[in-house]
Amino acid sequence: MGQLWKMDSILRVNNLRVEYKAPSEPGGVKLAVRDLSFEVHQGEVFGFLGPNGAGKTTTMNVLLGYVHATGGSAELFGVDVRQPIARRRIGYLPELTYYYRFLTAEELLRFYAKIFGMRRQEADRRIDELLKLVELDAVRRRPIRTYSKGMQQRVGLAQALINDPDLLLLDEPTSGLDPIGRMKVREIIQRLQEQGKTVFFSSHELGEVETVCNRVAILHRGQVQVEGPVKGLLAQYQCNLEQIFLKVVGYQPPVTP
Amino acid sequence: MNRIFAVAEVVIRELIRRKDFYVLFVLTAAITLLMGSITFFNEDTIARYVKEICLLLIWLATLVITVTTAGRQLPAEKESRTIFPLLAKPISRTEVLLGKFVGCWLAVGFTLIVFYLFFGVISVAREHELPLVNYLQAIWLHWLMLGIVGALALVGSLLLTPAANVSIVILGVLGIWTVGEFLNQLAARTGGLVGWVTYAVYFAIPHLEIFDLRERIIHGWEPVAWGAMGLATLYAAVYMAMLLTLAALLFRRKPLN
Amino acid sequence: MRRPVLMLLLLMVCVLTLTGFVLREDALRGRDNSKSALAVIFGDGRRLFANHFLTKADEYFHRGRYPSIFEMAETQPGNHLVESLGEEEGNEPHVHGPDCDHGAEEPGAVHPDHAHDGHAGDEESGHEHDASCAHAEPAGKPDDWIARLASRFEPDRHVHLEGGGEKEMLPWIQLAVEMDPHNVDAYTVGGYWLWHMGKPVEAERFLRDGLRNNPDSPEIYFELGRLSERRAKDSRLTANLYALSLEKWHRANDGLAEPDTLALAQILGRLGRVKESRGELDAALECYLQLKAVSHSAEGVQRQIDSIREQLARQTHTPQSR
Ligand SMILES: Nc1ncnc2c1ncn2[C@@H]1O[C@H](COP(=O)(O)OP(=O)(O)O)[C@@H](O)[C@H]1O
Ligand SMILES: [Mg+2]
Repeated sequence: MGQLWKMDSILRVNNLRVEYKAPSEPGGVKLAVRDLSFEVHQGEVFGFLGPNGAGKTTTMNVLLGYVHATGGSAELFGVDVRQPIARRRIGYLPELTYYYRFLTAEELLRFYAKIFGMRRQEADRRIDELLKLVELDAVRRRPIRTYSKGMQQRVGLAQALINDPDLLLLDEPTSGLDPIGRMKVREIIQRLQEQGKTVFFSSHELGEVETVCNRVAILHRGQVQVEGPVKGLLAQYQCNLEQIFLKVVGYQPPVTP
Repeated sequence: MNRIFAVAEVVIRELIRRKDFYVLFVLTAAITLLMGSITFFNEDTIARYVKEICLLLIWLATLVITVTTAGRQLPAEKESRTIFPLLAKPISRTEVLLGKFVGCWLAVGFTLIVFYLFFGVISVAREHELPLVNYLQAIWLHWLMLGIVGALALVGSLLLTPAANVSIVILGVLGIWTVGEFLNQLAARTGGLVGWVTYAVYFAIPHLEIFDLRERIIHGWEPVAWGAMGLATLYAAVYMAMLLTLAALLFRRKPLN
Repeated sequence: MRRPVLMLLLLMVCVLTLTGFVLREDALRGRDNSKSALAVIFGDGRRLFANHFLTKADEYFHRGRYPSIFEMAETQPGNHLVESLGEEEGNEPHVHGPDCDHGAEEPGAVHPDHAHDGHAGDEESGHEHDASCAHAEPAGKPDDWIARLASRFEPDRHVHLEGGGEKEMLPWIQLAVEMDPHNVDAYTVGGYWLWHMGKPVEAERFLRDGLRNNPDSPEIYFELGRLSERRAKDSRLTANLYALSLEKWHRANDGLAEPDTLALAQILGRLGRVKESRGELDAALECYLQLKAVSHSAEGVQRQIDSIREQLARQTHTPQSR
């Protein structure tokens, strides 16, 4: 079945446009995303790249229904994102989240399992599995407030996976982590890909994107500048992803007099 | 319903793990025991002033616990950004809101039981009698009253900053306790436009003071008629329903980022 | 979070008590008082607390049932909550709402003790008053459904503590004098109730404390006199205490535009009776003659005067010429 749906798009964004009210801007609105279009296919790891302020989080927020698009459309599994059922089969890791600090990892995951209406046994089994996956099994009964940043981020990954989702939306999953923490997150993403999950994640860490992603889109000022398979892009531009990125965002190296 | 209780459970766990409750309980107990240890005119069986002081402290402490707990819920979700992973799950904003309310209200109910057990012990030790029906009526009405207060704090937390909300709700409740029942007489006395406004306020505010059976249990009056208890319950239910509906409407429209 | 919560609790205690006091104090002073409530709080804070505690004692006497400030304002706004020396002679000086008049008692009529002592109480629960004395709802009070609902949760009958239950008032009286040692009412009220509860020794000590703090108070001398009279120990001491009370009264009231004639009438009535019982008829007559000038039931006093003149005539066979 996986093969049959291989090329089917799970996530589709079409001419998306998002404006924020911003009294400080001329015209009173801030255009965060303009005419954005891209697709993510079943089984892919898709890197959504862009400098800070490019509109990555805004796009994620539209997909999750937190922000409403000013124009265009967005679909998950062929369902418009404005309908809550579109989100039944997704898992989401927001950027910079501090989970309920007074709960333990185990309690946190049990709470989310209850939201999904999972049975007790099923939840127990799933929680064991996830805590092993994110390597927090040993500290599962410690309050989250005692965790390091990397551990908290892995708790976040575990909660995103509680319902065994088909599509994962990860917003800068490795930002703020040390090299080991980043490595661990990257390994988890790769393991998920092996399980046949589709992963859509935003980042500006280009090295890691190059190693884990099948396809990327580079966003700048709310617009997609470049999109395609990683291998194809490297071949086309004859340089690494970082140089492509810098070129796209128009970075000029300072000229020394 | 399960989702609502899942959210409620987290609220209760939080209250159990925070220090506020214990601090206020110890404070109440300490002040009561201190006041109770004074002998007046060689008369060591005086009871009512101790009961009065104990009840006053209980009313204040549980008011603070209710308002801070309910007022904190939604702002904390937003501040720690836990609202994002939560709403990415199949749960509606209204369910989150109701879960928060139910959690606060149940937590406050447990708090009341603990405080009134202490009061019961003091009262039995002093007066050698335990009018159980009167006490149960007092706890029930107190709990209903705090339900209205909690709903009020939830509404406030969607309109004001947390600090402003907590102070305004507490001052408002104290105001209603002290002058709420006289506003009609004040209106009749004032007349004119101010009188009409006062009348409008009189009919709009929840009359929290009618839920106060302190005088009756301090001075050993007979229980309240059950019909009146039913009416008070209905009255509280109507206010809670109205306030929660308002909160749900506000929360649904509230931008999250 | 811990600190803000404690601060809040503190703030709340302050706000609640102050609000309560301001309202009560407003009611005490009447509406036309020009002094602002805030000035009262900061200037006379202790007095305010003391008055509040004394009001509390009265509330306890009525088992929690207490007329609201609006009900009190409705009836005789200028009236004092505490009848400084009770009503007319012979009545106890217990704290009482102004609308509860225990009937104008004739001077000279014999009221040995507390007006209510005749009722054999149904134990702790106290007894109910007849309708004329109940804290009546003022005529203009709005009657809406909220008020009707609220009234079903409040203590709704006018009852008094008795059968030993009066002790419950004592802490508030003690607190009142600790807050404000110049609160003479608290001493007289406390003295009366301590005696009433069978604690004459404590009553005397309490009143003596009051006297130390308020050496010029006619009220406390008067109360000490009543205590001595009730204990029936030494009628000479009683007469001296009443005489001192009279002297202090004159010192405080002479030259005033509106002297407290009610108190004067009580002192004179008592003093006259003690003198009469000691056989000092001349002195008694002197008292009654003065009393006649200030009493609002002059016929009763006249009867008293006539009776003494009769006795004097019998004793000496020489008619008095006054
Ligand atoms: N609530 C908001 N109100 C106004 N402007 C916003 C808001 N949120 C984001 N923006 C602006 O929209 C742009 C895109 O932001 P964002 O999507 O967060 O970028 P990224 O996640 O790629 O760093 C930025 O310029 C940001 O300042
Ligand atoms: Mg971002």
